[in-house]
Amino acid sequence: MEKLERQETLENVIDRQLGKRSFLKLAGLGIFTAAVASLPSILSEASEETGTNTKRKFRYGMVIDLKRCVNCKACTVACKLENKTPPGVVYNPVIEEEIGEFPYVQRRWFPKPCFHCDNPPCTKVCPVTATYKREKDGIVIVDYDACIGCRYCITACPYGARYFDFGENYPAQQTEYGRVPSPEFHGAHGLRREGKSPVGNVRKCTFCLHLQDENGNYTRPPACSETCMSKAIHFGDLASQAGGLCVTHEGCNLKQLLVERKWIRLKEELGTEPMVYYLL
Amino acid sequence: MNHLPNRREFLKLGGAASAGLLGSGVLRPISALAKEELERGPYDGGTWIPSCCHMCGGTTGIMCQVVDGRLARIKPNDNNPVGFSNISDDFFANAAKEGAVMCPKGNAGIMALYDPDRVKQPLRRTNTQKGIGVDPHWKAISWEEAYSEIVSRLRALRDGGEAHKLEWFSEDHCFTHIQSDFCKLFGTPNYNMHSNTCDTGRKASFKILMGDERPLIDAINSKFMLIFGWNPLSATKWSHLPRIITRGIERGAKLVIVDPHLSYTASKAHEWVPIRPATDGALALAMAHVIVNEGLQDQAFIDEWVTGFDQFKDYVKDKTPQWAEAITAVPAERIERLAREFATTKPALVDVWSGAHHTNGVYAGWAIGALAVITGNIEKPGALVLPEKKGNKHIEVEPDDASKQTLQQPRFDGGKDKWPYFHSSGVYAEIINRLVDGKGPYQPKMAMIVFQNLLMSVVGTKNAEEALKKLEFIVAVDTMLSETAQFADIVIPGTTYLERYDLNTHWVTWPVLGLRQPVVKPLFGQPAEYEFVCELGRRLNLKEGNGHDVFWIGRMSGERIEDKTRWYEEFLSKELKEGEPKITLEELKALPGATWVSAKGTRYNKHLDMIPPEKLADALTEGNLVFSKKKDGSKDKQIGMLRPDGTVVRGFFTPSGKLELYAGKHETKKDADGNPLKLLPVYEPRAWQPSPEFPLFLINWKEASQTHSRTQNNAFLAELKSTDGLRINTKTAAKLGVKHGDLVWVESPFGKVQMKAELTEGIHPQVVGTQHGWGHWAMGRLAKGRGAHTGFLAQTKACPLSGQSLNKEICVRVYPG
Amino acid sequence: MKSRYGLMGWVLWGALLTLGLVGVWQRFTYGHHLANYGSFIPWGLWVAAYIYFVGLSAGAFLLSSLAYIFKVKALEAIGRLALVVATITLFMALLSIWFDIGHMERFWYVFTRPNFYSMMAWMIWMYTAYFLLLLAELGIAFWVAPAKGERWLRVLGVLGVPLAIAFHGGVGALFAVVGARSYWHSALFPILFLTGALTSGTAFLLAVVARFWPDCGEGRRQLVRLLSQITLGMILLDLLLEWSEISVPLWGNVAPHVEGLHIMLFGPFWWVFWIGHLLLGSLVPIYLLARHPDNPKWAGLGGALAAIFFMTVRLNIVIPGQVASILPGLEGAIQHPRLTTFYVPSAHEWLVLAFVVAVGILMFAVAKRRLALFGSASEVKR
Repeated sequence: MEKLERQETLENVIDRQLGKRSFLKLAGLGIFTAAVASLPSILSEASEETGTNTKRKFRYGMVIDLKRCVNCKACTVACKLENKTPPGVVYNPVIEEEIGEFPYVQRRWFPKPCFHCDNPPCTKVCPVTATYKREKDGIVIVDYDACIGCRYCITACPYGARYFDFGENYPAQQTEYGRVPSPEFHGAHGLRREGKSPVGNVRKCTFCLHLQDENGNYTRPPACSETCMSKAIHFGDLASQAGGLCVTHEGCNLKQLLVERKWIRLKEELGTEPMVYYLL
Repeated sequence: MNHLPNRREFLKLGGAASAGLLGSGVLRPISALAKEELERGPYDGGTWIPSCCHMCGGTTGIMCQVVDGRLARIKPNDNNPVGFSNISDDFFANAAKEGAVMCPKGNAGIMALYDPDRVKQPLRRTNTQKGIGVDPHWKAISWEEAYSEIVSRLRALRDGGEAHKLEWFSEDHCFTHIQSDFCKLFGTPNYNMHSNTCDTGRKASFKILMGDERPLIDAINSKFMLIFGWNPLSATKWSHLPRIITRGIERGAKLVIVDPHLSYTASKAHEWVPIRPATDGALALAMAHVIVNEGLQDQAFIDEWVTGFDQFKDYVKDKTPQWAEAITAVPAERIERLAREFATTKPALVDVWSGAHHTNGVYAGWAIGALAVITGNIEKPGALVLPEKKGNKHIEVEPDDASKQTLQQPRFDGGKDKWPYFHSSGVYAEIINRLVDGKGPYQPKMAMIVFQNLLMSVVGTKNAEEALKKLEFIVAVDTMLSETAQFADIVIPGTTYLERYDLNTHWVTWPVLGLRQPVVKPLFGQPAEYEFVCELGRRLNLKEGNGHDVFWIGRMSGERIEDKTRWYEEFLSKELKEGEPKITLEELKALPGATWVSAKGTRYNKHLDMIPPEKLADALTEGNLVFSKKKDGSKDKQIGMLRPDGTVVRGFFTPSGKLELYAGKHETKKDADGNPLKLLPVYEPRAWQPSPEFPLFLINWKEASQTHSRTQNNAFLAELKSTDGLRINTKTAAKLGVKHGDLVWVESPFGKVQMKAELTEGIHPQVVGTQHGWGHWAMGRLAKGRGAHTGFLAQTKACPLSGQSLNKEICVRVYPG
Repeated sequence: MKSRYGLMGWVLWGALLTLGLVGVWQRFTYGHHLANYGSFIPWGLWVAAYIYFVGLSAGAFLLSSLAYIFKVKALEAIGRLALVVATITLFMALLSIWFDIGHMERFWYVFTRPNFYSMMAWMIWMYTAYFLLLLAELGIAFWVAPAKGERWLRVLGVLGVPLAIAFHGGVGALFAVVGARSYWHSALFPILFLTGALTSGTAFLLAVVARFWPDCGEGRRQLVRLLSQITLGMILLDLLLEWSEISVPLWGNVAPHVEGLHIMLFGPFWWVFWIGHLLLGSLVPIYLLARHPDNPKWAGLGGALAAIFFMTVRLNIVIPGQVASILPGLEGAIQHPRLTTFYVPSAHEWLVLAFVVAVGILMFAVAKRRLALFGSASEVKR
């Protein structure tokens, strides 16, 4: 894992979030694809030009304080409970590694939700436009009714944020738990049915979309952030002129944090512009 | 909000457009967006019921969403300090703003409730053979059959004057009062609960030192946290621990963890001090040596509030860092530096928990506590604080004459007479040993095991198996068919914490009481445990000595109540009314978060509290100590001490009224093995030391994802970690020819188990270890057959002072399997 | 003698089909439950089979079309055979990938909700066009104008060649554009896919010609020799490109580009490359084709080996590329069999593949019986 460490000014951070981005960043296309690729690029450019101001309203993201994170994995489980994800579908795992040699040794870890990249590689590859980045808030979601389950987006995500729903169930599915609705399932908070979407779909973290869309105010933190034992996961609007107020912990200013603290984003070199920052 | 066409409009539009246009980059997001916005409605329907968690004993506040009678979600309860902070200032100022927290186990509660492997109806064993791996051949029976069988067994004991031959084992922090009441009215002194497998060693250490069992750390205000053998960021019994500790660090505190294993807490710490197991006492004494030697102690505090400093000073004179280095494997210079840093940073706190599960544990804990005492870090912000534990009042019942007879029998485990720091939770290890060797004062015949898995929680599993086989009749009340339940003659389906009541008063520094209440009806129509006990009481016709029909009469209304739930609600109401909150159950339910929070808040320096004159008027004085009086005028509890200036203050509830570095009262006392008690917090090598044959220390620990041995069948938690291997230092493994992922045998004189080797740099080379709780051979489909249970490798032994199970005193050899 | 072999063949085929039907039944009954791929290795045997078959198709088609365009008389004779082979293998490819997707009933969404940015969408549209072109060519070649077919076929071939290049190059690009997987993210990938298609397609045709072409003396010998030489040349060219693709990153030996290569060359499945691809799929065929270029038996064996073992190349594209580039520590963060980088196709996956192969064989057998596959149109007429 390569990490770029850098400290940026407030202006830089804001610019980067609000700045217009060329969609013609794909390098390494063979001659066969260049012609093909240019067409939609032009289209995208055009749409960018016309809609910049009205569409880019919010850019929701997370600032995760690794000084606080204790590797309890409450976020992982809270997400499962909130979204009723099946076995093997985990929107926010905690990644861990050990470095050093006894007695100079450390275990390092970080929770890894979807980064809701500003330049998401996953949405571009979808053959049926089933996954996309919402213009209004930058949340990357999958339309389960459209996804054909080809899993191309899983391969395209550099961060392992996408999971295929194989239709597996927890043993509890046979109990009353199977009648507990999930906010994600087809038809407002429906039940999980065999062979029906999202079974056979690719699934991912949505920043708890149902909570965000509930009143359109983005006043509720995603489940991982809410439950976090050390309050390490800050969620909020990184594009807000008011300074990226964190909806999780009232009074906490995300942009201020990004200026005051050192931070990294993962695989920055890919140009994906993750919307999840890790404070070091 | 955005102004995009809604679905219907869009479909019209789409019908007119060509397929190409429909899917072009311009329109792409619109279709799905409109649709998805239409289809997602409100998600917060149903009812939100405040309660308290019991995935572990931490009793964190929770909010439960119930939709159509089903539990849908569990969220943190912002109105309950347990789960936010143990200090009131922090709670009052920040809880509403930041929101409370929950641990992974709490978040996984729904999987415990809806576990398909739960016991659903009473079961009777049809196989008379008992043993590990023996199929009991369960047969489902009716409740009536179960009750009448159990009652007839109990009645036979009581009628035969053998009520004391009932051993009752219970979980703590849930319905303990009614169970101990039952035992008392039934006539058995043998009511036991979980604590003696947990922290009665620590309790004894602090009892000696400060006369109080359970000081808590004020992490958020601390500047230096020195923690021995505790993993508070992972063993997150109270969900607020990670928050207050990381916040303390954020405010400038330094965290130092002394542990043979690089726990997550040790990883998070500024310094990890890998130490040889069971030598913490030596390290603490050497640090005290440095502090005293260099005059870094808080002499003013010592002069006023400490007894025995001179003896202590004398004792640590030769406990040099060099002396400790040879014992602990911690370099002398490091000991010196840590001692100086600790003594010169104020406020600092020091603590130890289950790192004390060894024969030197109580003295080591005392020595560790002594560090706080000599630096004056007691009862101050950022230091060790005595919690004000005021909540519901246990209303004592008065047994009848028949019961009084059998209650006069000694406790089977020896009780206070045998264990100088006996805790009311009993001594599981001793019960097991005496059952096996038959050398107790009598031989118990029947056991009631409520939510306890003795086979996995008491070390020396083979012994525990033998012990259970000696009992004539066992009733297990549990949600799961645990290893211990497999030995039961009758199993009663228990309830999870989401299906029943409890009052919770622990774990923060000021009086707080949280309500646990049924958020869903018991899934299988089973009675909650307290109703089961009540039913037994009714059927046995147990009454108080004065004929009061205690299991029938509502404590509030004074009327006979058929409905056992209502009866118990009055039981709780009375405890609340008579206790600190002085409210009824209904009023408690109506409080925000169903939590009563005293406005008094955290108070420091409580030893300086003046005893109010009205209390003094009705008190007894003995030397410089002041005691309250019992009804009959005899001496009750210590309430204060007379100071030289004539004032009476609370002080500390020790024989001197002060913090004790020298325990004079030990002079006449002996421990359970008959050895005289030490007068000072001495370091002695623990009894079981590595030998050439068994050269490695085996330890175990807890992680945030599991509680003891009881959550391993939880589907959410199993995904976080479905088993644990044997963590072994890379260099040690290389010497043994073991590679990562290899199967190895871990063998002690008591048995051997097979585990997967997990190579790491993060453990002392002389130590191997694993997370406790794996290796189930029953319990449920997810728990069964994963990992190994190290209890097979241990002896069944209790600390001779406190009765604490010596869970971590094991030596093994490891070889490729 | 012949009929006994024939009977045995059909018995084997029946067994294959039966097994395959079990696989298909499982697929429809249990969805993806029985497959061994997961969320870290989301693409498995079926995707590898898909690019393998589609490569065979593109290769066979390109070869015959190029023959028409450049008027290589000797090769025009296999024009019809190549068309049929291209159609059947394309069908097999589509069948494989259809079984692979999560919602088989939604495959047509790619036309109704297209993403012009997705290489996969382009690939599907292009092979749809290619499929239509093949059908048109088949119609002309066998029914509409079998006699004057060559001119038409040449016209369609001229259309078809860029389409086939674009479409199979596009399959390569589908992988190459994935920046997240350094192992795939190579500009050479689309080229490798094309040469690979030509190699495997020609080798496959060689094997078919050597086995099934009516023995009419010199004509067949010449055809076999020509195909042998092309196959040999393509294998060598392929190896050259492969050498370039492997040696350049390995020279620097710096992650992340070499991660996948290390897995392919020295991982737990090293033998797939060294034995499957290099020995049986390349060296042995090179020897056979160089030594016995016009011996139908040996050259045919060489072609068959090269064609069949080309599957190892496809597997080595799909799998190591996914194993590499996983965030360190992600594997093991969650304990679930789907969240691992260890992948071996399950029995179920093999059974479904058996079904695809059985269908392909059946189609070929029917085509062989019903259609005049061998010889150019003019030859047939004569």
